Amino acid sequence: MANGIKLVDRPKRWQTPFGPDMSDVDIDRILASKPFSSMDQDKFPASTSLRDIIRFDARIIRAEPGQIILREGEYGNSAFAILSGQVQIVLGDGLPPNLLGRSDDKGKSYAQAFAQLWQNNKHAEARKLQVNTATDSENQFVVLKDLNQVFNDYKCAPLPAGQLFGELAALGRMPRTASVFVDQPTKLLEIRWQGIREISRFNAEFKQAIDTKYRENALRQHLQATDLFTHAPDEAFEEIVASTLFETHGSFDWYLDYKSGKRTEPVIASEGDYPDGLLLVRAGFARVYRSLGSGQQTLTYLSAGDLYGFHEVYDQSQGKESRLETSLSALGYVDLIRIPLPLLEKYVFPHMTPPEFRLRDHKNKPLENNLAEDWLVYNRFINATAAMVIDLDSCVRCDDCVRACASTHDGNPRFKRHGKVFDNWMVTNACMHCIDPVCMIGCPTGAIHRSAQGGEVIINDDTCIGCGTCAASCPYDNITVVEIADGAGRAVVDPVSHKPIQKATKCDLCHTNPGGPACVQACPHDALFRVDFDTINPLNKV
Amino acid sequence: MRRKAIIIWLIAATLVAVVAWQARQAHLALQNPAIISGYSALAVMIALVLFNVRKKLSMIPLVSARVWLIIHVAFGVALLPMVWLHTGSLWPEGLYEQVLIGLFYLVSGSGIFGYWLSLTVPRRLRHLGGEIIYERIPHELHEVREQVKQLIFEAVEASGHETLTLEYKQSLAWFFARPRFFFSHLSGSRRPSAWQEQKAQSLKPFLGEAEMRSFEKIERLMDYKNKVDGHYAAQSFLKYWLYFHLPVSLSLIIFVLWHVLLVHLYAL
Repeated sequence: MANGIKLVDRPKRWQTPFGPDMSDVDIDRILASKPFSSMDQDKFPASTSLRDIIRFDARIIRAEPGQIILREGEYGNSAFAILSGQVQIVLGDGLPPNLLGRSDDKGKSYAQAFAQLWQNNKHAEARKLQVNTATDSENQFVVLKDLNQVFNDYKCAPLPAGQLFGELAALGRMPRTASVFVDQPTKLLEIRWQGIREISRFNAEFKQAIDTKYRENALRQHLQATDLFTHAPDEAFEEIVASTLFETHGSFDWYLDYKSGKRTEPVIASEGDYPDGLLLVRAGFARVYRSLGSGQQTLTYLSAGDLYGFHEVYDQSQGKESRLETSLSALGYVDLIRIPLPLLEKYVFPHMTPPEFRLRDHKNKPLENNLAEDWLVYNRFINATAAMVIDLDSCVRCDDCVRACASTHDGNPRFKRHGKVFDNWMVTNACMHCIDPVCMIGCPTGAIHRSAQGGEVIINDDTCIGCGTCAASCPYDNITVVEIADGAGRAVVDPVSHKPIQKATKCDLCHTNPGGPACVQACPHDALFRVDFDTINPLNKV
Repeated sequence: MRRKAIIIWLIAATLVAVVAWQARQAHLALQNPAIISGYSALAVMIALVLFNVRKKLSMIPLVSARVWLIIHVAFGVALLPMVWLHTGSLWPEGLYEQVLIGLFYLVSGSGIFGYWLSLTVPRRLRHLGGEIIYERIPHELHEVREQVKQLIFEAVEASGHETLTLEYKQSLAWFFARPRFFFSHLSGSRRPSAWQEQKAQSLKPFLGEAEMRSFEKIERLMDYKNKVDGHYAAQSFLKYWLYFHLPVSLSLIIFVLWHVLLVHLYAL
């Protein structure tokens, strides 16, 4: 690195407003409209006033008829308040991809990728030191040309001014569940989720409303998405929603306990208990186990869409005396839907053949066959959608994967070829692009987010302020905070504190690179894989 | 991948057969068969070199490196009969030709040896236990050394005897200074642990209770050091065989190009 330092103001939260052109007049108007007009501004601290939240965490979108605001299946990091006009939510199967204007994320062309060969900076962690306005590819809006045709062909529901939408996916770190477009000139306020979180912290009514809506919407959407009630008539759905219970076990901040070495697993159901209903996992993970000697034998784990207690309640419905055959505990946190037996007897069991596979059948495996799964569950690797796994029996430690990673990231590798080992498999310290990316929870600027198209967890280097919250939250230590340099290799230092400026870095799964993860492509010995552990969950093989 | 490998090996075998057949046809037509076999061998050599180029271009999708390695190995093996077809013998006459074939054998031999290493050494590394990044080995050894020194200080303070200090100066300092028993670790010999046991046997009768407690911890650190040494030896071999294979390959390419030039200038 060259000698000398470069002084640059330390990036701060709100240094880069979400929308660059929010005026005081706009803010006054927004504060006078619903739902903000009913909020007590005095309850917000001076450092995080409601006014500042609107100024820095929100932006106004003036949408024209036909403009698509949200696209089903994409990941989003913000919610929308309707200031004037109205939006239409597409129900049912949703709009086809061609109408949604689906296209690949703007990635590098082959020429741009090739040019990295000579364009990569020779200095470690060098940056161009320019701060851009926050961008989100989700907001490159697509327009529906023939609205009448859309209304004829698809079922839509209007949402009037004063309502909030999109908060479910933004807060739950999940894909959007429906497409939303406008059918008349409409003014929207887009608020990034950090702003919603702040408002929820200081306004109890808003938090209550969000929570209630979150639970109601999540419950309804999940029940509609499941195959269980395919034979239930439409008019029965109200009864199903009303009779079904929504439960959350464990803590949404589970990673804090995990990082401190605790493995708390609140018990949800115990072996031998009376089965009072079927449990359907909506989000998170749960462990199925049974007592064995003085320990517990993990049989399998459940994730979104999996069922617990199915056979036991089925036996119950057939008049057999039945007890739960296994126990269930929350791994971190888990959202469950409890479907009571009478509903199942009415809408599910008459239309199905008796189930063959039972969760307890997992215990018929030799104990050593459970070790790998036990290890995955214990280390919470089940959260991964793209864990980097290396077969140590094939890996020659040549580091071609590390070099390939560096060559696609301006000369800086974004993972460490190091990690926890089980048998001949190593799960390396590379971002696993989790199902539940807890690293996103505390980010004050929204720099760490999911890409709209593929859902990879990525960091916007321009808006990252290097606070390290994401690195501290990551349960797997897969995010590294680095000290940056300028193009000439000089250390970049804050003129006030004289401390180096930092940025969070991690694997981005080469999401802009043609050909996908360079590490996988570069391994000559077929030793490196990106693994979604859910695809090898035994439940998926049944 | 197995299917792809079979296809690549079949293509390589077919290429050898086609070249041999073409050379035979040229011979029957009273033409020079060495032109066909020579240029075919040169083309294959260039294809083999491209594997290294592909490694530098990992930012663009140029077929996975795994497929390239299979091509490299299969066509590398196919090159042997093609070169023999070209030279007409295993060891041709003429000094320049002998240097050329000598380099070729060195490249082929080191390539086959490297491939064998890549199949066998990773398993040995895993059986050694732990996973140590090669570049961090000096740091690991430094840490171990500092811990050993600290244990000896504690033992001397607690016992008032300098037995361990003397032993450290006489032999343990040598052991902990840097990776040792390189070839023993490579061959899988028991010499490193035998050396350790011998040291322990000769020293233990002279140690008091406090010193013994420290020495037991030092023994565990010696075990760990042996493991690090094993990783060092195996990973060094995995890394440095390429430092032989690549320069010799480069020399071979230069000699071959000069050979082609000379042939065109004087022989054709």
